[in-house]
Amino acid sequence: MKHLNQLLFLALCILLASCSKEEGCTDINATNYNPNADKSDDSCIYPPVVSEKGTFKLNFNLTSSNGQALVINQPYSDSANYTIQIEGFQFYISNLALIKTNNQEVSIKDVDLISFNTSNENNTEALAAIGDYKGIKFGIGLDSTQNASDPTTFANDHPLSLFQNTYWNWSSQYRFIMIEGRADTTIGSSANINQLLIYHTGLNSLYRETQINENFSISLNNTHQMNLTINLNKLFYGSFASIDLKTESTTHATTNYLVAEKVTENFITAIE
Amino acid sequence: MKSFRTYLIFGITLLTFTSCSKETESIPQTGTAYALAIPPGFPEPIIPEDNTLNSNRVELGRKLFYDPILSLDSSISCASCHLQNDGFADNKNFSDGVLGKVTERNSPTLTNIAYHNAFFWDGGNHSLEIQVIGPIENENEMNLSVQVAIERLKQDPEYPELFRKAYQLNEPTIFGLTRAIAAFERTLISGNSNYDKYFYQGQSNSLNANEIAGMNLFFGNNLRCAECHSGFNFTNLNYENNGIYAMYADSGRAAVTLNPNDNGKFKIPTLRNIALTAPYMHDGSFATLENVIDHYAQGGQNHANQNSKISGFSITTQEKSDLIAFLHTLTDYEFINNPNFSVPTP
Ligand code: HEC
Ligand code: HEC
Repeated sequence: MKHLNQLLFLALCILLASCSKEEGCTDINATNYNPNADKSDDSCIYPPVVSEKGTFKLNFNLTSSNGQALVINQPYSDSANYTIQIEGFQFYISNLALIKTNNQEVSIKDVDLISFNTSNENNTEALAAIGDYKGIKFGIGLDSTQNASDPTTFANDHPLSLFQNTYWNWSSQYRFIMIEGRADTTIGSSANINQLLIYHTGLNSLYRETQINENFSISLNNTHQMNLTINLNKLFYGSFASIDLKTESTTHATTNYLVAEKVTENFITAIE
Repeated sequence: MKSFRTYLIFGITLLTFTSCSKETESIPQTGTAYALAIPPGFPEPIIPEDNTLNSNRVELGRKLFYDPILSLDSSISCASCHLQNDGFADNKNFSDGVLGKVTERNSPTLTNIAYHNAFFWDGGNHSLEIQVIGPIENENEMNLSVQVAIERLKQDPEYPELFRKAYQLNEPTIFGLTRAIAAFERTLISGNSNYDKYFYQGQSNSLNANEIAGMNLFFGNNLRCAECHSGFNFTNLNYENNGIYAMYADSGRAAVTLNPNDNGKFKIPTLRNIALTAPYMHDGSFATLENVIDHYAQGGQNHANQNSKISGFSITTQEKSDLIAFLHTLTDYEFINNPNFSVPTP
């Protein structure tokens, strides 16, 4: 036992001695490359990478039935002949990435809040490396890490700030899609559009990612714009499931979860 | 050219920093460290790194806790529903908010809230800091948007300086507001009741024979109270259905988990200062401790999710009064009279 200890000690000495060779930066590409160093000490300093960038801009707009631009606070008649007036429409877009032609995904933006509360168009943009791309990917809502953010720790104009009024303090999480408005579901008369519509989704289980396939390239200092439309008719009467505006007029995700699920799934297919 | 500019900027930044650091010396520093008085038998509570306690923070939080400035019509403060005299609960089934509104649940005690890991009867909120936003914005409580609350604090003659001293903020922010109130709440530690003196401080004469008999009933395996109301804080912090209804109007924990098996489950409340916080349960449906014991003795309404420990027991009148006497020994008079927790003198 004692011998073993001595042996270990000896081994340690040798190891230490061998360590005392010259240490430094051993990478020839670094600005502080040391040709005498024979052991790297993680001290390498590299010249700043000048990456050449352009801007990617993603525009969203809303359409009502048969492709007409939707105007907030103005009633329209939908495919079920209901009269609908949208008064607020916001959603979180997150983890926006561009997909290179070699399938590599390049993240360009963590999160943004798309709001149509004052106009029927809104956008998000970010710098992106120049090159050829074959599509984009993004999340609707927030991933579980983002959703666990503390809303009091952001600057007031940050998309995740409490000041955006998108946070449910009762359940300590964010709303993902927020649609408010009114409807008249008595076919024929449009005299009183007084049935409230409140579709607020949320919860980690309703975070969805989607991909848009479209070839484009980003060139130096230029902006590439991609235009996406959210078709309200498909949102309410989507391919996942139809929402019965009469009986399924509200959800807060924790209440009427199935309605929130329909809104979420339909939302993905309503983007065109 | 570019690199010269970079150096220039760097140099200026450096200069600004060095010149700034002189000024900061004259800014009163973060206040004296606030050492929580941890009672014998109690663990240290977990304090978030971004809100370590110091006297400036606690004092700011205390002022805010007692200030009706945080309600729509400046009529209601946190202390309107969480009164020190009532063990930081109140004596109403449902509490009065602004504009004649009432809360949907019974106001719980804030006694030893530092030891909780989730807040509200259903545990829907996970941070004592973020919880603060709840009552301020809730239309049945203070009904004030936090934007307006912050504006008011910015206009106030005193708060900007207090926020600066407590959190080195240029002006009141929602970050500082939520941190400060939570800091104050964490100091609300109660562990000097007669029960504590007897159990943790070795003062064998601080409970009388009836109280001891009640204590033995409470911890015994006939009544099984301590299988849920366990440990130094008389709660294991789980969510349970204790069978007060066959049908619950308030789904409780299920509203958070969306799991029907959680229907009618609520956070097991602490029983500290319980004699001060009547009426009882999430909806204040039991007026007295005697009603509560009768409920447990009878064995509950047999809801599908009712915990199997609630199975009824027989109890004599004498035993009942002993048990009630024991529950009264959990009242901490030092706590409810502690001047550090009361309305700050302006
Ligand atoms: C109008 C009455 C009222 C006011 C004002 C009020 N509360 Fe409450 N408080 C309640 C009620 C009722 C609950 C339980 C709510 C629930 O469980 O859904 C509660 C719960 C809490 C809890 C959670 C306790 C636990 O055991 O989980 C904390 C912490 C709290 N309040 C702190 C505050 C603070 C801080 C303020 C001031 C910013 C405040 N309250 C203002 C009535 C009030
Ligand atoms: C299965 C776990 C469980 C057991 C066992 C249990 N309780 Fe409870 N107790 C609870 C829960 C959960 C609540 C809150 C229920 C609600 O509000 O709907 C509660 C509430 C109470 C309250 C009201 C607290 C308040 O702040 O309103 C008292 C008092 C109480 N229990 C005393 C007892 C006594 C005494 C016993 C033993 C006879 C006992 N409990 C056994 C789980 C339990």
